[in-house]
Amino acid sequence: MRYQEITIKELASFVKSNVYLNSKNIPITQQRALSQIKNPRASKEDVALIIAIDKQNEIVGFIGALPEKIPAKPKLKIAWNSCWWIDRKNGQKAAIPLFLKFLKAYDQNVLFRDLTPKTEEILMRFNKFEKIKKLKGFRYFLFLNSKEIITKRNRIFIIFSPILQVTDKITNTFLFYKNKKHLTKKSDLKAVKINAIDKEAANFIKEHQKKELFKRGEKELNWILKNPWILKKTLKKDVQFYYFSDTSRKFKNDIYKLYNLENNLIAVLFFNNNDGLVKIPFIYFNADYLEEIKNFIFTYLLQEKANSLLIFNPLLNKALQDSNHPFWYIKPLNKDFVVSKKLKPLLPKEYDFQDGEGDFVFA
Amino acid sequence: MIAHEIFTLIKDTFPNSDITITQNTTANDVDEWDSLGHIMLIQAIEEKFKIEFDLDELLEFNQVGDIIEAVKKKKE
Repeated sequence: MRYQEITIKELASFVKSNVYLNSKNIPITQQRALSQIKNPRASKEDVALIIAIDKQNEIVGFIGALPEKIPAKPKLKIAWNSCWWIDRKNGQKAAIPLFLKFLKAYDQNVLFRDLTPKTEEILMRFNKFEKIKKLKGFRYFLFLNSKEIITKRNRIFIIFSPILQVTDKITNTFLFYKNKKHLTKKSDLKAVKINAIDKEAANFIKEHQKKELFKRGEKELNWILKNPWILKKTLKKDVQFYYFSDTSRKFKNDIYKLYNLENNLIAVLFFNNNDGLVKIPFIYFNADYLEEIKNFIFTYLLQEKANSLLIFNPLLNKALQDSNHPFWYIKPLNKDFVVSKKLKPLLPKEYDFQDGEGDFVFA
Repeated sequence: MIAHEIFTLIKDTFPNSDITITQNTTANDVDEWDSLGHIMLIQAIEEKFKIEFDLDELLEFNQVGDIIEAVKKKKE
């Protein structure tokens, strides 16, 4: 088994290399590689990917890094773990070397989120990691999407697709009329969709992120907006396989500025819609307008024909659950953040996280 | 003896393996020796000998003999 580290500057040539092009399982998609190259918080020498290659020159494991910076400590090189995969048959023995090399590449200054149970167990047993934050979230189900959910769980149910589609349509029509008064409540706010974070939005964001650890700003949010990791699914049959999110029937990011009646900017919302699941990875707002912002979110959900909404922001969640709401089901979801014991003392005592920290915003 | 204690810890961590553990044994030789098992073994060794391996040391472990040498160095 041999291991290869690929830096940010090497990503472009790596995705054209024979190892990449001939491998059954690819460690990064072309769009992810392109996005990583443009990460404003990465240096060219930062390690983006470490791969394990077996004697047959096949990639049997990989671990990904998303370089990050804490603005209060700009010289500190840190990274999020963005993926970690091994071939069950031929790559079992590569798991730990990949993990250790990832730690070494960033001098153990690493963070993890959205852990699988197995990864969490490995990290906790390794005794060099600690949970630092738990984001308490909820997934709000607005409309039914049983056709997608059921057929995804087991392909055998595809024959029932037409029936499930009809059931969904009937149920959703009923749900819409039942909740019409919530969903179509007019917001007093003026909503302006923007194609990039402009100076006004950037200044507003700066004012409203003082307690954040990572303080993603104009450069970072525009990078995320213009360099998605998920592309629209094509009909082309893939000959290579990628185990993480890469395509979707519908994926878009939208940024809205909300103004009050006096034409003052009171919120900037970064929406993400992945096949009907809407998230708000970044939100900056004047809490006095929470109710109106909530109504605007409903408008957006209807406009985007969303089925569900996923939120971790505590104020938003309280507003969404406070009064009568249009959701037929609310599922709690918690996300743990884990950092190395080496990094933890370098962090401030208190700080906030947005929903979209790390690579969450990309998928 | 350090080597004997480490062999015992390996057998305890991977009880279903019927291979004879030697200094030259690697993770590839033991079916059960996966990522979680590796971490559990390292943890067991650190607890037994009241030591802590650093990252560079962990990266050097290619076979059981490397672990034994690292423990001996730490106990000197």
